[in-house]
Amino acid sequence: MGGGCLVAPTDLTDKTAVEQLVGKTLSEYATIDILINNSGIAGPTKRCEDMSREEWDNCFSVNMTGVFLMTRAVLPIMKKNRSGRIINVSSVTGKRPLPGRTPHAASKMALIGFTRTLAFEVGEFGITANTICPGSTEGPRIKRVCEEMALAENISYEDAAATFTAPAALKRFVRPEDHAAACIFLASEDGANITGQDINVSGGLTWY
Amino acid sequence: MRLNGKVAIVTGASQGIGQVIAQVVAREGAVTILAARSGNNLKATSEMIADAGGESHVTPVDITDEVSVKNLMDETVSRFGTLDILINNAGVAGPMKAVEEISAEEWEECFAVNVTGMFLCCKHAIPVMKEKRSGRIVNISSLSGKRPLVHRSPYTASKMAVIGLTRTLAFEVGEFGVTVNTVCPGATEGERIRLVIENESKALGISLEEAERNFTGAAALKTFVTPEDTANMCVFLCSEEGRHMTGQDINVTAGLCWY
Repeated sequence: MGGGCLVAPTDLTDKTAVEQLVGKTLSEYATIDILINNSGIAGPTKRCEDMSREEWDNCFSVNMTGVFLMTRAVLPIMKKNRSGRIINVSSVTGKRPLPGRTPHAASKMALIGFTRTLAFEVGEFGITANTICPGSTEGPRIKRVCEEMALAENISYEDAAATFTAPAALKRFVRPEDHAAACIFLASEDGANITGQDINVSGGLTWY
Repeated sequence: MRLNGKVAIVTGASQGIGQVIAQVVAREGAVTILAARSGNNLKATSEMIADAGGESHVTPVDITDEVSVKNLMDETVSRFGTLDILINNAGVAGPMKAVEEISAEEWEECFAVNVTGMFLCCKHAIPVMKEKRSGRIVNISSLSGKRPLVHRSPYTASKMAVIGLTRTLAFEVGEFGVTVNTVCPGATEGERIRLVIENESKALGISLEEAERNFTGAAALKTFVTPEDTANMCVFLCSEEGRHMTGQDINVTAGLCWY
């Protein structure tokens, strides 16, 4: 494809590792213009009353604290540049209830709150901060979920898939490329005056 | 070019944001049908598009008149073979008065253009889009209504009505591959905001800079948006890249509004 990239294994929940990632990027490329905080975990699937404190903390440490640490580490560079783009990948989960997934839903909504306030803290430095909220996305993960559901509920794979696609206006899954396209738009000059938003890329599954 | 070969209608294309949307849509390769009440101003838009190497066609229309709207759609299809994109930008500011001073006629006039006109354009575009099982509708609303705007109740109510129309329509036409979205521009650079700032500066006895800050100060980016910002979002939603976004109201406001 002809693009440049740097491979940097990083534990986002580790402050030192995050600082090393930023240092490595700076020594290689001299600056950071765009940060896409996509890392996240599904967290446990359990009822709230069955969730351990550790399980809860673990989900938040990746989905929220990791984003905080990454953002904090790049802000001095972006502020100095007086420009920058931060895109946090949230989810439709939380906007829509997802029983059995309270930590995931809460952490993904936390990202939205973080982004809105961040946008106002960094706006005067020409930095934008936005969230994108993917809906049910094509790929091995949703395939596995549908297969398991079909088996557990003794329904066809198509029926299981329809439980995800039917509530969406477009009646289909979205693709990973759709999220990438939204990220590129927000990071490009075309998106220069959009900040503090949470953008649903969900085939119409959520509209709020 | 992201809209190459598409046929697009832009209403209210004779001035302001609509004129820029039409230019950007044409620049991205769409044959752009310029619709508005005033044919003369549309010619100016058409000339700008031609100078930039784009293709457009002027069709004066009164969107509050169903026959006129149907003619617009029929003429577009018979001349260009199809309709891929409808950008409902036409709108009026409505009266600036307290609720108790607004006549029923003033109220209805504002809704006739901002809501009923949009409904009529959607109504007569959808059969074409359903038949081809694809289409893009973008309705231009405003951050007004999401945020209160004193003495502009018909405008704010009509602009929120646009969002309700969009959400429900998205679910009516989604299975036919048609997306429907709203774009909500914030305070936009241009002649209109200059006049408002001058008036406010005089009325409140403050400097022009202070009056300007009354608008930009509340936005995260401390700036006005440009008509191009709104046009860029319309293009994104109408391009292949935006195919899985529907039923949304997207704020292009420099962060003035986030809900």
